[in-house]
Amino acid sequence: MNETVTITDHATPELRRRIAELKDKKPILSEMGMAVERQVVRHFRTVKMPQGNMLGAPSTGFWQKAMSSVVGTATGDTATVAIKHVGVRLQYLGGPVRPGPGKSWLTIPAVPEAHGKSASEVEGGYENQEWLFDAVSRRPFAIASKASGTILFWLTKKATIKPHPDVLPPEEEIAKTAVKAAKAFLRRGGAR
Amino acid sequence: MSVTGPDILASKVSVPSELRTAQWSALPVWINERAFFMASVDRAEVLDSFHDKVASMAAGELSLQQARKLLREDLDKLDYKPLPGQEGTIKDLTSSPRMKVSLETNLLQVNGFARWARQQDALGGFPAQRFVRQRMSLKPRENWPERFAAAVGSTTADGANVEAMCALVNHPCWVALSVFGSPYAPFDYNSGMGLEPMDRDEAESLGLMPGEDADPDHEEMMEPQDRGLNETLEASPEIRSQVIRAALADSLQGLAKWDADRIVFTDPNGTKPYKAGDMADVWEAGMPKGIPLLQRDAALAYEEDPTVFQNRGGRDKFEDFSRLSKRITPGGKPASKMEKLLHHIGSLTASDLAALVRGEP
Repeated sequence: MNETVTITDHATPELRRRIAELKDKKPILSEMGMAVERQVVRHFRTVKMPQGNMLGAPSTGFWQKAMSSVVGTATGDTATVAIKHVGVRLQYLGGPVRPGPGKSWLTIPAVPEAHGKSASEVEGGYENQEWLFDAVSRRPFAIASKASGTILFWLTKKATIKPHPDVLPPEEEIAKTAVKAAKAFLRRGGAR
Repeated sequence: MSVTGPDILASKVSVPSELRTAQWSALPVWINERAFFMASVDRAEVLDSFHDKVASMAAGELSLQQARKLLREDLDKLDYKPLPGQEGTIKDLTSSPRMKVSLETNLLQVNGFARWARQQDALGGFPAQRFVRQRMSLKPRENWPERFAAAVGSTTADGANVEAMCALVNHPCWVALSVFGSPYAPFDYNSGMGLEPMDRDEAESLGLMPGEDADPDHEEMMEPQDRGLNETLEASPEIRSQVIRAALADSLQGLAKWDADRIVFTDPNGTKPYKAGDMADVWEAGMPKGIPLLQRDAALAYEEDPTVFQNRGGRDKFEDFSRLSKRITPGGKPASKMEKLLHHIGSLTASDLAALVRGEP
């Protein structure tokens, strides 16, 4: 699912008037959009990427792909950031995760080798794995390696992701960035 | 409207082909930018499956993991099998490394191209970009600073700062840095490096901006470029397809040709079986500069002097002649002089060839 954040009405009336007066608005709006885009890309690189993952596993390139998908746009009094990368919205807003269609269980990686992979891609696939069952409830709770007995994935019916508002810079900052870019454009008269 | 990765992907023409990575790389970059292809994938339905998954990833509908899973299911349904001995290698389309590199490289390329296009509209405020690490790789390439310095060294120092690994967006060093020959990220397969837009103030402080007495080439870096993108995005799918087909045929000349909707190698000096008329057509198409038609030359030498191979005279030429004789299959009515010659060469038996070596044509 995509994440789109829209920030409105932070430009001063004077700034809005000056933008409205421009014959060709595309250059100023492009620069405002690029300013916001750069801010979010930089935020992902400097704040989110270094946090790594809980298992200390090699990166799957989640934030790199998220960075590449950021598109910033502006319309004068509205700045929009669209991030077309699966998972960013869930990270930002939080929420429940359930198994996909036709699936009964979510697989939560238990070891670094399982991070970012499905069960079929770990330890040479299903034939080298076994499901572990709770002795009392007889419900499966994990997938383990047949050879070593190491638990590769935990099984669950539902997981809840906490919201992480720090996924994006504060909206106030994004708005300021767009306004700053507009002012810089007007200061130099739009010259390249 | 801002150009996005999905827009660019949607404008690409799928080209099933036998071409390998090196051969695609040798083609003009603009063809690579407008074609969706994968090395040695000549089945349209397999290529389409990858295209669909990249499109869904670019639209934010599928994760890499989900895309890989669906691809495996598709390839299974299509009864795709890797060649013997290639199972699990990068040549096996079902292997995780091949899927990852194919999906991610295509995704990052279309998004990179789109950002490059958007930044052309914002050059006044964001005229430069910084080359930065955007993914912590397990084994990062350590030589990016040297590669960046070499790219600047092979182009011009104006508008670039080697120490800070940054340059104007339209600096030619970016093309020199890229193994794909494009000015946007990614710059190599499986690379964790990418680009971050740089604003005018920072570009000025790093000495990237052209001054009053700047070289015209330096000044030109501040002019927006297009790479023909607008034209491509505006063209109909039919026109785009026609343009790519014609450009590929022109660039590959006789080395490869369209066979219905896929590109196949013609193998002019190899062992691929042909009827006499088809072989003559392959030779007639000509070769890119520097590639000789060895078997044709051997055939013409034989036509001129049937004893030319006596005692294996011109050993390589006899090998070429022998290979030619074995690849010509029966059938078809020879029309031209060359076809008649090929028909005759194809009818030679092993003992005929041995007789030629003995000088008994």
